[in-house]
Amino acid sequence: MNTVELTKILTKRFGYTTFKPGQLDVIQAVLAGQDTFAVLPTGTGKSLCYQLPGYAASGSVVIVSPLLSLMQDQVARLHYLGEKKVVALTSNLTAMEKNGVLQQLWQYRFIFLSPEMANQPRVRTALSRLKISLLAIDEAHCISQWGTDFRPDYLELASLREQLQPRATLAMTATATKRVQADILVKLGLTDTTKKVIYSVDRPNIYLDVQQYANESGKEQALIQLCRQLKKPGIVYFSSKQKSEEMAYKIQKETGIKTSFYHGDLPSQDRYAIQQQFMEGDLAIICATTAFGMGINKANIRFVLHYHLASNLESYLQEIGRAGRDGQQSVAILLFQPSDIRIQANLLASGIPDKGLIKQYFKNPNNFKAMHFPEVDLLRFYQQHGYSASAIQQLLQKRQEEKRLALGGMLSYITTPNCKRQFILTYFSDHKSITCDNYCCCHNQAADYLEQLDLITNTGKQKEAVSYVDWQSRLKQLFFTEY
Amino acid sequence: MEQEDYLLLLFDRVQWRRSRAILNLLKGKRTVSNLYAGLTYQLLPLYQLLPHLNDVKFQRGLDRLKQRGLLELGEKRYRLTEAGLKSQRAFILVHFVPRWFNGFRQPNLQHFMARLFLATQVTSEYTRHNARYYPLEISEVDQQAVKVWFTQYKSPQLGRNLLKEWRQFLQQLPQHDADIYSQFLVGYKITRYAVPQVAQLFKLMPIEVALYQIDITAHLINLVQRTPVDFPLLAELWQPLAQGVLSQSSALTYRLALQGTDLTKIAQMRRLRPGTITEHLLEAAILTPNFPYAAYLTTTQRQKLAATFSETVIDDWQYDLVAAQDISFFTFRLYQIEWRKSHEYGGIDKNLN
Repeated sequence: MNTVELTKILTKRFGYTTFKPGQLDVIQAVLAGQDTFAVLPTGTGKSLCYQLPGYAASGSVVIVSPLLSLMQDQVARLHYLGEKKVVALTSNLTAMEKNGVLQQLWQYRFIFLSPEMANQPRVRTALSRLKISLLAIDEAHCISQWGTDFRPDYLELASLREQLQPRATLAMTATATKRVQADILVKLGLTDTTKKVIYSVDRPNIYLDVQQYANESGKEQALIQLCRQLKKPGIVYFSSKQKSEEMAYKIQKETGIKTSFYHGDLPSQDRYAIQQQFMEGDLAIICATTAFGMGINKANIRFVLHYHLASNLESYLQEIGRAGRDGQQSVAILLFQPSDIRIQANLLASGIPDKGLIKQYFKNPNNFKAMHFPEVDLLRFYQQHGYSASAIQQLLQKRQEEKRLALGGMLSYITTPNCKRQFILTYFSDHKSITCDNYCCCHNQAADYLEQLDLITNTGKQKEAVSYVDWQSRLKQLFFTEY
Repeated sequence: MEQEDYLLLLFDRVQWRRSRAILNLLKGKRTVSNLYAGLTYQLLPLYQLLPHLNDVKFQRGLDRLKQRGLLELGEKRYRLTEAGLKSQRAFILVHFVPRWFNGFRQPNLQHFMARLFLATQVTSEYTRHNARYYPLEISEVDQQAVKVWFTQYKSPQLGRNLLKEWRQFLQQLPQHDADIYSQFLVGYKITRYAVPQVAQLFKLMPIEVALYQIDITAHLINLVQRTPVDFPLLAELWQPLAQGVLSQSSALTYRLALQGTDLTKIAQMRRLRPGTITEHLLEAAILTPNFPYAAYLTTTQRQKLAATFSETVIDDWQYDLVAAQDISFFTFRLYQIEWRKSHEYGGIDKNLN
C-alpha cells in the first residue's frame, strides 16, 4: 500500500494528516509481511504502528501487552476512535465472558492479551484458528532478562509466534539498551533479516532538571512551589500511594489548583473519573504512582515531576516521556533527597522470592497450589519449566543484581555533574549528537531557567478548587436541554 | 471520627460476633453459615453491601477500634465496650446510614449501577450526535446489556424520555442527596467525580459517599420495581438483573420441597449430595417467610431440643449436646432458625452478663 493510501486511512480513522517519524517505515514494513523491530522514543505514537495495519490488511491484529492498565487504556482509546471490534482478554473477564469471547474471537479486529494469557492452552488454540495479519509485542523490553521489567512468560513468545504463524511480527519498545535490543531479537526467534527501525531515545523538547534537597520538608515545599509556578497541566510521580494522596490534598489546599491523586488502589470507576478529568482539562495536576499514564494520550502535558526517583532510567524515560507530546517546550524535574534511595532499595526486593520461600516451595509445591501472588507465581512458572531450586536461586540472584545495577544507573544520572541528556544517550548507546545549551538540562543552569523556557504560568490567580453543580443543572448539561 | 468508626455499626454491646462471618456477609459470600450469622446478628440486609471490601483494611479497622478501647475481643469474636456503644450511638446521629439497601431485594445492584451510568452516558452523547468519547469502563456483560438496551430504545426522543425518568427519581430525594448522586453522572462534555473528590466536596468520608451511592441506587431499584410504568426505560435496564432472594439452585430445590417431594428423592433427581439439598432448605428457611418447619421437625425432635436448650441463651446452643440423641445438624439448625425468627431481636438476650 502506498503512502497516499495509508495517509487516507490515517486521516479517516485517526484524524491525523501526517505520520510521525518512524511510523510510516514500520507500517509499510509490517504490511509487506516483514518482521520488524522498532525502537521509537516515547510519545511518537507507537500504538498507531499496529493500529493502522488493522485497517489496511484483512485478519486480526494480536497485541501482547505487559499491563492490564495499559491494555484498558488502549482499548478505551480504540473505543474512543469508534472501533467496536476490540477486546482485551484479561483476568477481569468472568469465566462466562471469557468463553464467549474465545468462541467469537474471529470477529475482533484487535485482540489484546498478556503473555500469561497467551500461554493458556485454550487461548492459544482459539488464536491459532485465526488469520493473524500482525502479532505485535508492545513494551518488548519485558522479554529480555537484561531488561528491567523481565517477565518469564515472555520467553514463550517465540513458540507462540511459531504456532500462530502471523503474517508479520512487530516488536516495539521506547527504551532498550543495545544489549536488551539484541536479546529481544533472539528471544522472539527473529532473524537478521528483521527490519529495524531505530530512532534516538532523545526528546529534545523536554528540559531535564534534577534538584537536590537536604530533607523531606524542603522537598515538599519545593514541590508545592513548582506546582504553583509551572505552566500546567502536569504529572507528579510518587513511589508511595499514601504520599501521592497526601501531597494531592496539600497542593490543592495550599495553591487552590485543581489536583487529584491516582493509584492502583482506587476502584476502576474512580480511576476512570480522574483520568477523564485530566484529559478534559478539568484537573490541572495529577499526583500518581506509575499506574498512571501508560496509555495517556494527552499532548499538552507541560511538566512531569518526580517526587521519588524511578527504579531505573528506562522507567524514568517512559514516565517523563508523557510530557510535551505536542512538541512544545516542557520540563522534567526530579526532586531528590538522600533518604529516597532507601525507598527504592526496599522496592528492589519486592516480588522476588527469598531463599526460604524457594526451599519451602520445592519441598511441597502442592501446599502453594491455591496461592497466587507474584513470588509464588514466579516459582511455579520456573518449576513447570524444569528449573531446579538452586538454578532458580541463582537466576533470581542475578536478577536482583541487574535491578541493583539499574538503580545505580538512575543514581548516577542524579549525581552526574555533567550533561544529563548526554548521560541518557550514553546509557542507551545512542549516538545522536547534541549541544548542551539553555534548552537542554540543569548542567550550568541559570537561576531563571524556567522563565527562559517560558514555563512559568502567567495567570496571576489560580483556578478555584473543585466545586459542584446541583443535580438539576447537571441533568440539563447532560441532555443539553431546557425542557 | 475515623472511617473505621463505621464498623461499630456492625457490632453489639451484648452479643459476641464473628468478624469473619460479617466480612463474608458484606462481601456477599453466600454460604449457609454466613447467612445464618447474618440472621443471628440481625445484619442479613447488609448481604453484599460492599463486594470489594478489602480483608486487610477491614481487619486493620477492627484492630484500631480495639486499640481505642471501643471493641473487645474474646475467642475470635468481638463486641462493643461501653465506650464503643456510646461512640456507636453518637456516630449514627451525624453520619449516613443506609436506609433502603437490602442485598436480597436488590441483588446485582453493582451491575445495575454500572449499566445505569453507562446507559446515561451513551444517551447523552447520542443526544449530541457524538460518537468519539471514552465509554465508562465496565464489565463485558454489562456493556453488552447496555448495547441491547440502547439498540432497542434508540430514537430522537430517547434523551428527553431518559431525562424525564432521571428527574422523576432525583426530585424525590433531598436536594443534598440528589446532588451527591448526580456527581457520578457522565456524558457529553461532562466528566464524573471520583468518590474521594465527592467526599471532599460534601465534607463527608469516602466510605460515606460510597454508601450514599449504593443506598440511593437501592432506592431507585425499589421504585423501578414498584412502579415500572413511571420508569419504563430504567425498568427495562433493571429487568434482566431481577431475581428472587434464593439462589437459582436453592429455589429449584425449595420448589420441589414445597410440592412435597422427599429430600432423598430431590437429591436423586437433581444429582446433588443430600447435604447440598439440606443446605438449600436452610437457605430458604433463613431468607423466606412461611417456611414449612412442621414438615421437617417432628414433635419428638422439638421436645428433645427444647428440653436440652431451655436454660441456655440461643447464641450458646451447641449441636454436640444433641448429636447423640438422633438429631441431625439440619434438624438442629432448622429449629434454631425457627426459634430466632419467632422471637424478638432474633432471640438475643439483651442483658449483659
